[in-house]
Amino acid sequence: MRNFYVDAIQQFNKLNPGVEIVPEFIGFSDAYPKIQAGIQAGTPPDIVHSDAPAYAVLLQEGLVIPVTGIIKDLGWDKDLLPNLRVTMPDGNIYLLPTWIEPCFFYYRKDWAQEKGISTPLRSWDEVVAAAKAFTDPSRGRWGIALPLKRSGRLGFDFYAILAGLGGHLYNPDKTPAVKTQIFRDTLNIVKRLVEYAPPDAIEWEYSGVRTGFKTGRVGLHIYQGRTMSEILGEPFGTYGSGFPQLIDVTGMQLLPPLNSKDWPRKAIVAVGIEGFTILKTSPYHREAASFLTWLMGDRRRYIKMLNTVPFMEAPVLASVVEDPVYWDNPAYKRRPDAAATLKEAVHQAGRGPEINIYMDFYQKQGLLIPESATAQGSLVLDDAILSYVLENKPIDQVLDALQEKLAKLVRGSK
Amino acid sequence: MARIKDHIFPLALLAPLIGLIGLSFGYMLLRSFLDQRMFRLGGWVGLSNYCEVLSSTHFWSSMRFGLTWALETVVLQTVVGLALAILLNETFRGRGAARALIFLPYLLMVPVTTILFLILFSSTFGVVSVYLRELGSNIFWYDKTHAPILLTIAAGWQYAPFSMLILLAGLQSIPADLYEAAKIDGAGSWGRFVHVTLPGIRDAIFVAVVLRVILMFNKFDLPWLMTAGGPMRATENVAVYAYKEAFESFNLGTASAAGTIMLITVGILVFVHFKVYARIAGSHEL
Repeated sequence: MRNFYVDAIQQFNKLNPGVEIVPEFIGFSDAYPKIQAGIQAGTPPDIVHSDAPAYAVLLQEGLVIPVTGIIKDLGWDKDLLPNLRVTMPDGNIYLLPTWIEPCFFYYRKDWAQEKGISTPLRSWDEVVAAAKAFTDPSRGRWGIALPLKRSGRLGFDFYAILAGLGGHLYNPDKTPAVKTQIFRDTLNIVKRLVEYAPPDAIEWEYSGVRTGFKTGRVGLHIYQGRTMSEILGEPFGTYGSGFPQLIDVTGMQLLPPLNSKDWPRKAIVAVGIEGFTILKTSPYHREAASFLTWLMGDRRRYIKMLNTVPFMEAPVLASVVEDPVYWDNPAYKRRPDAAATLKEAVHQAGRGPEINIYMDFYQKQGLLIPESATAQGSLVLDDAILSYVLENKPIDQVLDALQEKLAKLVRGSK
Repeated sequence: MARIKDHIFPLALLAPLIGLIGLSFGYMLLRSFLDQRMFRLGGWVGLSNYCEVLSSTHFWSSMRFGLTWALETVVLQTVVGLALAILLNETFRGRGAARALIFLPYLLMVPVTTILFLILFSSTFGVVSVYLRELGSNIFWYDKTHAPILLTIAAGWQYAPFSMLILLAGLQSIPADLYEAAKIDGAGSWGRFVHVTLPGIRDAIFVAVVLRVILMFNKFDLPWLMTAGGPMRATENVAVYAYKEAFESFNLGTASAAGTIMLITVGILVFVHFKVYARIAGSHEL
């Protein structure tokens, strides 16, 4: 993906002699410090491509300008998957989405067969039962990879489940919404699963959980399509050497609901939206808009961008989701069943009754609560979950502390 | 008049540095009295940020860890540094190369040290961990119990060469005839070490220890990169605490307050150092 952007930017700069786009690639965990430091120092970026937490922080502080015009110029106002038009109360869209990353549950089909576990796993009780059955420390096997290192990943996964089960971090009036039964149920799901995570999961964050699964240490884990991309590897047009021994034994499904009778109708579809924002502080709004319109305006280039990492980055345009050109990819052809699961996730994310985008979004009111993503980015959710599941603090104490921290993140609060 | 003139030139040379430090400190001090959350600048809040920091259990645990970790690592650095200095004070073939090799860890960048320790001690794939597991050990080096120990080992490994350098200089300043005299008096190796070496390098040890304590108390890069202050804040010192306040909680006001308290703590340590050192130097003269 980096190479794609570097090439595209070089091309744009050549075509537009008076404009120079200078890319800077930074890790997600460095995004807030860098952007914050840049704003404080008076040298902020002009355009930011980010995930929900960074976007949410900027949106919350009124630091980004609408991109509604760009979306119209691209013709995306008609083509963007309906649920991904995250419109703010002023009627504007502030994030130009580039792709979505659906979240999946991965499992070892061979382990499940060995233990007589039927798949897909239709409820969290079945997940816990599978994790328990897979756990066999004498064979170096554990049930599930959990990102127990304080890195944001745990909060991310937790939120996906919470929102999928109907919970939120904030109410529409921005008061914390953590003292609900759904929140407690979600915490208890994680607590039950921790028992079947290997002891070294305490060191696992983003790559750790994938490594744990790919090295055969665990039989289950939750992640975006990146895991499948990595298992397939370069031979199938993704990246890395791949894990050929895992290609056929890796199952990929949506996250389950609480009750098995609700599968698959209420399967959890959580998608991270990533995209571009233009900062208000930039003196180059026109040039930024011109660049983004050029970059995203060429359909073939857009599909090429997505296919640099198949399974990982899914389209935000309805026409591309249905375009055979997009699916004409060695990775999708090698695992057509997984490709079908990806397509189903994108359809549901785009058109389902509720959208789970790792931020509190009250669809009916058109109300996005960016503080919910800020909370994840500031790791208050990780802290709360870890204090409950690892430090065994009483749940009420954990929820009280979390409620206080969430309240502080709301602008104008004391 | 001559007295004032004597001071002008040194002060003039120091002025830019004092100005830079003063500006940075002044900026931090000012921010510590303001409500500065997210990217916005609020109003004057007086001592509110300090009250918030000082009433935080996390701050006090970070202070406790920061001080104890600084002391533990410095003891390790000094003991290892002294052993290395004694070894390298001897004349042997390849001493120059040995000195360069032993000094290498100090020259490494902290991210490199972090990766090195990950390769060795990561519970999932670390060479040492996997080997120890084969032998029946169940140590997870990055868990709450062992992460502080691992951090101490890493700091000791990386900074012992610096202590070695200071102590070696001290060793080399001890006149050889003192050892001769001690030998004549019948002192063995241990006796010579206790009665000649240690007194001879007392000042060097003192300088090494106090400087290192101050530097280790302020350390951010190693705890942050190795463990990010975790797990569950087990390795969080005040520098990491302040960073988290600034860039995770987005509260520059409390982060500045924590930074100011840290600076005051270091100031007290430096003051104590100079007072004690002056007393020791005074007792030498007597």
